[in-house]
Amino acid sequence: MSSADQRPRACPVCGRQAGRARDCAECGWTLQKVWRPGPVTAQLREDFGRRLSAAQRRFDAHAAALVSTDRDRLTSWIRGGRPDDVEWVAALREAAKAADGAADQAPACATVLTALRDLPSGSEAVIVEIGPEGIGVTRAALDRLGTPLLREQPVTPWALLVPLLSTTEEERLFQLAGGIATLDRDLLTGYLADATRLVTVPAEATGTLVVCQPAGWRILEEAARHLAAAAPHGTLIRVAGAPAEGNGVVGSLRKRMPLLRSYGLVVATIAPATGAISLGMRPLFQPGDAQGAESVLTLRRAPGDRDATTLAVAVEGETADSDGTTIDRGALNVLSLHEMPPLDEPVYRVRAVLEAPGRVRFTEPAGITPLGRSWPETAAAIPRRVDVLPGPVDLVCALELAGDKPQVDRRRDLIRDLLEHLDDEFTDPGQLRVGLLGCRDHVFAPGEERRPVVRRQPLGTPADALLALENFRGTDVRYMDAAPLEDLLHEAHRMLAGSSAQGRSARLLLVARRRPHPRILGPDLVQPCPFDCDWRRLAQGLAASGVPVVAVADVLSRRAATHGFWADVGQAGLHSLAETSARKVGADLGVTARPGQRIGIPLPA
Amino acid sequence: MTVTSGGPQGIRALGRIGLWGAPTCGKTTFLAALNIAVSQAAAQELMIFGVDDASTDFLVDNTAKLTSERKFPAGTIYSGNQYSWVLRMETQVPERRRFGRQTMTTVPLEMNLDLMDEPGRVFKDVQREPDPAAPGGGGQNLGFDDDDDDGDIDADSDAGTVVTEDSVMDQLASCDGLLLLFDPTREWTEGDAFNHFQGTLLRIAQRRMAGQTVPGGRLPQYVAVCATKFDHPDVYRRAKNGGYRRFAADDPAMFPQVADELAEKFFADLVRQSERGNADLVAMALRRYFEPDRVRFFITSAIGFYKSRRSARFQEADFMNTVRQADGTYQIRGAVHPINVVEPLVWLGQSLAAR
Repeated sequence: MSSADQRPRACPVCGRQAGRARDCAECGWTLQKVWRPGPVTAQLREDFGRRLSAAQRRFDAHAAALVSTDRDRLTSWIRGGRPDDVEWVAALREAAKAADGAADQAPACATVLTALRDLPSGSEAVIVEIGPEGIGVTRAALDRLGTPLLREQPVTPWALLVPLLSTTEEERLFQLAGGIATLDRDLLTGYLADATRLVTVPAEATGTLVVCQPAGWRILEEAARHLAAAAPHGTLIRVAGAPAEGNGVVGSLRKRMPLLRSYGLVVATIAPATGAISLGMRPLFQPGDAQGAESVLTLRRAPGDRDATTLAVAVEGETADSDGTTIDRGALNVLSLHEMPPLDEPVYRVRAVLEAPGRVRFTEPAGITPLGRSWPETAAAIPRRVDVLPGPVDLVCALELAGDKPQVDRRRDLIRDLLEHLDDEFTDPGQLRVGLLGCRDHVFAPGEERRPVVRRQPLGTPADALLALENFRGTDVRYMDAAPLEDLLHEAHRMLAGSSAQGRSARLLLVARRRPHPRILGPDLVQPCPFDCDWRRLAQGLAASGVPVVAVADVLSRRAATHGFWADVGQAGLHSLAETSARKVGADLGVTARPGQRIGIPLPA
Repeated sequence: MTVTSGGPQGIRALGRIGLWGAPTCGKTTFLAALNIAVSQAAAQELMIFGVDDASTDFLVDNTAKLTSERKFPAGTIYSGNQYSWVLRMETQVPERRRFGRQTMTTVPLEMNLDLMDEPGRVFKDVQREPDPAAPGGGGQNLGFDDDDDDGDIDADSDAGTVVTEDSVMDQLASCDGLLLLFDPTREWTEGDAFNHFQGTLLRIAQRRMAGQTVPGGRLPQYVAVCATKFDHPDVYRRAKNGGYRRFAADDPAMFPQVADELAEKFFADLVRQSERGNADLVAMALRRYFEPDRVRFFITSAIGFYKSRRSARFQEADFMNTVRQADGTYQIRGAVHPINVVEPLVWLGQSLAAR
């Protein structure tokens, strides 16, 4: 007598122990009937064999259909041969029914992540994944940025858990799905019950999530039930369908995990009045965004700042243990730093892709690379305040037109260089308006004193101002000791009077050689302005109106730099024409970044 | 300058008036402004005209220079010419009537102004030190001086200098009145007024007092001392700050002036402020060599103060009537309003007529 003969009688269809029941409690196969008279004919044997084969085929086809919709994949393990169409459809239907109540992958991940998110700070959960490869245990937590921290233990393979399973992968899958008719059901049950011994669940775990995937697979479901029952605070999660890779949920958890907190890009904002720098965030990704999510931000750099820019991706949260850098709201936790190469365009777009929680890649503009520097280092390099203006600007360039042609040309060249520079830097229409003023000499002769001496180009685009500058030709010196700079100040004051009300900053650049006419005849015997303009009052008025003035003198003596007109007027910057440049002047005017005041991170557009 | 007057029956000559002043003190400009001053004078009967073509041309040319070209006349260049103008006016003179009664009678008065075009250099001190630089006063002279040659004789012409000095000294010594021009700005920068003054004074004394036997006798000339360039900002400010400035009630333009009674004191203040020279000795010498009541001070300006056409009156904030041009020369800025240019001559004429 073979060992098989010694085993308890089992259902020929499902392999369950038959016992004395008339019908199989599992598959309903009739195990015993009342005796009937007459011999067992061949016909009867054939009929019985056909019914048994059909029942076995139906039982095995169900398992095969759970593994694959391909009817032929596991045909060799289906007793009774290849199911016909009707049987296969029915098997597929039954397979689907077996997974009833199971979640899809994404909701299952969400359930897992919700459980993780709800974990008390510092605690861990255990995820037990029961899948086609075996049983895996992962200790899971979230770091302070909401990024999952997963410590996976090696998967315990089914061959170790249930040695009686086939060593052939396809057959083992068939068996795991329910093709167990040929297995010793008592042994199988014993192994599964013993799985909790082989699979160690840490006792300190706050909760245990038992994930069974694919749902409906018989051995997997049974093992899951055992483990869920055995684990403290165990929760069973059934996931429909086979995992794309590995055991499924944990393998794709990082990728599938939606963000729990907002990610943003750190930007610098400049206070209009003080130039103080504060850090802010422009949102990149929102809670719920998952792998592959894209975000596009329009940003700008400070005009004139053509150096590399650091892109800092940060999480906006409420954690108290931030690195000390504060932003508008809450704490700033920087995830990653990236270096963007210098850009010509003052306004640009960045495109960010969420590769995984905690991992962001920039795909636009080209050439952005990870930066191997720390955020504190980066933050320390950001100036506390800058001179460059944050908002729209009105700039008046005023120049003395009288003098030798080469000298007048040098004044015009400086303004031309500045305007060309600004034309490149301010591409947004209306962000910068430029006006021009040029003065010829007062003529102190009867009938000529009251003739206007200031030529005017209204506020417009830098390009318009550049064109107009060509018509600001030099003139002869008619009075040696002074130029009508006071009239320039007067006209500039008028041109810029409305800027503040329009929310625009105002700036004045004055390029000249001589001093202005005084309002009254003084000890220096310079003729007073025929229009009674008072340069001191006008300069004070400009300052009171928040119009800084940068002055460039053809020649600037040491005394002139500290006393008198040039020192009084050029409060925002005082230069000698021969020693200055458009960039220096632009920096003093606050329309372009000062070299020593690189912000280094983007500005909001 | 010769002064003539006449009673009801006619006009008679009274004497000559000489012009005296250091180099660049503005003698030529003063004379050029005279025609304008006469034209602007309130007295309708006041007029001036040349006695010959050269004198008329001198007057016409230099007046045009001031008014049309708005430039200062070139300094006097010795040519040996003698210019002569007639200044006609009316003045009141005492007339003895019957029974010894004396009444004031208005009489026509003509003064012949005879001017040798003596340059200022002639009035240098007795040592007659060469002055190769011969600047126009130096510093901020603001073009108030006569242009170009500054009234100097060509430094290379030694013979001309000697001849000119003698003839001019003879002329001055023979004058009945003297118009002494004193440039305070030059004194502040050069400090040589007394040097110029004393040489000429001694030469006049030598010519007029030699042979006088009366002890204590003084030179007989009337002297109108004119401190020029009142319109210069530094001079004007000192008048203003010193409390000498006045505005004539009958002057609608309200040009500043220094009243005659304050002029001598202001003159003293002006020379006292010079740290370089001994100009205070000038006033002392004048008192010593001339009869005190025959010396009178005037604060004058040939071109006057600037007044814009849109302004009805003098503006304290903007009164300088010269403008430095791009080439460094000075130009007159606006209309010429001489101050106290005619008045010294009128005083001299009246004084001589009343002798």
